[in-house]
Amino acid sequence: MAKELWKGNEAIAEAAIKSGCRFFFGYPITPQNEIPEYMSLRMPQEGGCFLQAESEVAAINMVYGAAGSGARVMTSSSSPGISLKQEGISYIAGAELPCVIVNIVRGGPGLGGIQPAQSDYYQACKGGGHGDYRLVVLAPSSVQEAVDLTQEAFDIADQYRMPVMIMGDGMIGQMMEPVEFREVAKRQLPDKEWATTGTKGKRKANVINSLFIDPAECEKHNNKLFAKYDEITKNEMRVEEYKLEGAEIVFVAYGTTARIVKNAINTLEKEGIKAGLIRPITLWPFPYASIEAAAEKANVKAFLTVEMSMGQMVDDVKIAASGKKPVHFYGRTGGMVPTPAAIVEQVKKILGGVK
Amino acid sequence: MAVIFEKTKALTDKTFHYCPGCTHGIIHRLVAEVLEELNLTDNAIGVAPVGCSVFAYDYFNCDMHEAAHGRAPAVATGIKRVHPDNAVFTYQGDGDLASIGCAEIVHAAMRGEKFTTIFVNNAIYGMTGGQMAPTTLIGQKATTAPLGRDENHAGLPLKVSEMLATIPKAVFVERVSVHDVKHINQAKKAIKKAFQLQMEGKGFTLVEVLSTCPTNWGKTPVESLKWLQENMMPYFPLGNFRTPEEV
Amino acid sequence: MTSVLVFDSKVLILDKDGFMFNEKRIRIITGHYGSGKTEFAVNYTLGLADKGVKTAIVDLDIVNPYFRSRELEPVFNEKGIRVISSSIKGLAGDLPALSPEVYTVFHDKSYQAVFDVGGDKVGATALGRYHEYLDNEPYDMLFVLNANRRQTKDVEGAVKYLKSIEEGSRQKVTALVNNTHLCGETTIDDIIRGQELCEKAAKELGIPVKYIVVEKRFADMLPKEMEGEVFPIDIYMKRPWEDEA
Repeated sequence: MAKELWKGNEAIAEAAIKSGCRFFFGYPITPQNEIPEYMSLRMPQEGGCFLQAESEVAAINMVYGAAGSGARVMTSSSSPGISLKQEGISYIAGAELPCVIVNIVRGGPGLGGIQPAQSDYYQACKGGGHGDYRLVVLAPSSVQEAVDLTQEAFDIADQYRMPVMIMGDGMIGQMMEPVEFREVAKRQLPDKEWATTGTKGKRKANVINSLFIDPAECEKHNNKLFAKYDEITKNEMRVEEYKLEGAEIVFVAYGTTARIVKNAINTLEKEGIKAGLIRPITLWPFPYASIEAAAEKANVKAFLTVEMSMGQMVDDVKIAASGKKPVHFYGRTGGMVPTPAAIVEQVKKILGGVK
Repeated sequence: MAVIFEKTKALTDKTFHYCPGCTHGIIHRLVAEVLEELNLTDNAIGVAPVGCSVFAYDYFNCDMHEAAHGRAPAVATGIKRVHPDNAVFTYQGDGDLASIGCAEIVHAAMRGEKFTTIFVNNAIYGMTGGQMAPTTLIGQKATTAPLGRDENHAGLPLKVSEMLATIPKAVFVERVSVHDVKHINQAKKAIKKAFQLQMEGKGFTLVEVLSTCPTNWGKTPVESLKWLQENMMPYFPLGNFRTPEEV
Repeated sequence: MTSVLVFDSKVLILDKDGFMFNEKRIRIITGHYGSGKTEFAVNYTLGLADKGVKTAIVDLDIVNPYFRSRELEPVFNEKGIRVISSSIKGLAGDLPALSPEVYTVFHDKSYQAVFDVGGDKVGATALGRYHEYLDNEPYDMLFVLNANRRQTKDVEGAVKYLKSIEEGSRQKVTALVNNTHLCGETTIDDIIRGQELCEKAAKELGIPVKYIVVEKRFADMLPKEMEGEVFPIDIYMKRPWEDEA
């Protein structure tokens, strides 16, 4: 298929439809409004259902109901709205329901602003809602990758019966890029025999539930979830490594920040400074092994984590580097975007001035 | 020997956990009998949110969802949109529906979601230990209103049926009670009507059932039934608030 | 390259190379978001100011939160162009908050004005509130078309989209602008395919194709027999990674 120009938010919505998503429940919030707007137009054309809920709280619970009923379902929002969805996300994770949640991240905390940010990393990867649970968190760095990952997200969700988050900063949602919709590799997906469809008199009643009155049972359930999370860590971890060969400085950055870093790397290269990039594509499971391997290389002098936040991912980079090499951080937040020039400047500082 | 009573197959054999004298058991049975009589047991999907009836999924012999506190109408919306031909119901208490889930119930009614809500009003939070509910009566004592509900401080009890009856797509709204046999029969009739209208695709249907909580009210079961009649019924009058015009 | 447009006799500005910039005093630039409407509006406004006329750009985009012409306020200010947008300063606002200053360009006729309108029916609706002025003064409304956008990739889609913008804005499109591109991946074939679409749509609508917008590198590569003026542009609406370090 020929490439077309798509706005990130619209492209994510179309990718979801292409993956068989036929139910969407959302609520307006900038900068993700094109997703529900696009869905409101396209879902009826596909015989699906778009519904504007009364709140983000209601939207995520509609997702819970639809997912429990066996449907491919999605919701989207931006940071403050995703905060409101956390209760529902915890229930969905607890009840082991597959669904896709899109967060087009904006500046925070509180109402923050509408410009791009990456300050929901903790919320997405370290909890968000209550209890011990995980989301698979996919972080595209282009509109094309957002499309590809959205299509795959539904399969990952169904394969492991768990919620998957697409986390893009506002730039991913708002920018226009050439896109090609491609077929995703088919996965062997289990039947949804657990779904509530009415027993039809043919089976025992199905119950969608996350309540365990006996703490031993609840612990057992947690262990089951974490066995699954181990499996996902083994199978689904994804990372891009860029110009790591011989790099003195290894950047760790994701999403659109990684593209700014690549620009800085090319500038540094012209100036004779070798730098490379580790770009986590799955923020959870996090690619600790890539960073660990880089930390062990003699040519690597230091890591520089670049984020549109005050440094939420830097903890994970430090864990992976486990003291073998220093981990530095540079970030802008609140909707401010790092410039390639400022990143180059940071590298020179780390390497001790003029090389 | 003649069988004079047989438990409906729409209930499981699991023993109810409800305190003796609590009317949840009666209401469960009414809903289950209606499902069986309308031949809907195999087709039904119920939603039981947080509250004393949180284990309802153990008792109803049909597919069930447990739900977060107050969110049952949103969950039921998701279910019904996926399975428009199934009988979908929520079973909610007054803390759940009238307090934390007020937005969800109002908007489900506004959209005319085609499910049935059984709203059990016992004027108190049962599960968490007798705290004040939005439906707690003036002067009624609760663990968070130790001197009794003061209208100047906590406002007046919310009349949910009257409020929802103002919403055009709430096609059937009726308040019933289960304090005696006559009223139990009337309650069952209303529940049956609600499910019938749902299956005809008419719109949102709700039956509010006045109920007792002997444990948190600190009354015997018999005293509780009397208290319901003398205190709740004057403030929460029984009757139909909305019904579609017969054609 | 020739233009088939017949111009209003009141038009004062004439480009030595032809008819560039000689639209009526009030120019409204519309199009599907992602058509490159804002990029064109920015280049057009800067080019207009270069003619030495008193220029104002009115950013009426209430649809897009990012990539709006107001972001280039410093560039405009350098050329003495008046920027009128939201009454809330700061780029991060997502309230419409149209400034009362917009009326200035209707009342003070010494301004040559460019309206950059939000990219869909909803965005165009914001223009509707000014129809009492637009009904009383002739204007030009340019519809920017990009054949690489799915909803405007064929004549039927393009006409439908244009009509929805006319309906929202309560105004009539007077000419088409071919701005078919694929960001950094544009080829000459894209431009030619877009031009074919524009010419077909223009014929159906009974309006001309006024401009063929291209990055400067394509300016000398285009076939001769195209309707409209070639309008070479620089890219101003850059992403952060497109900045030189």
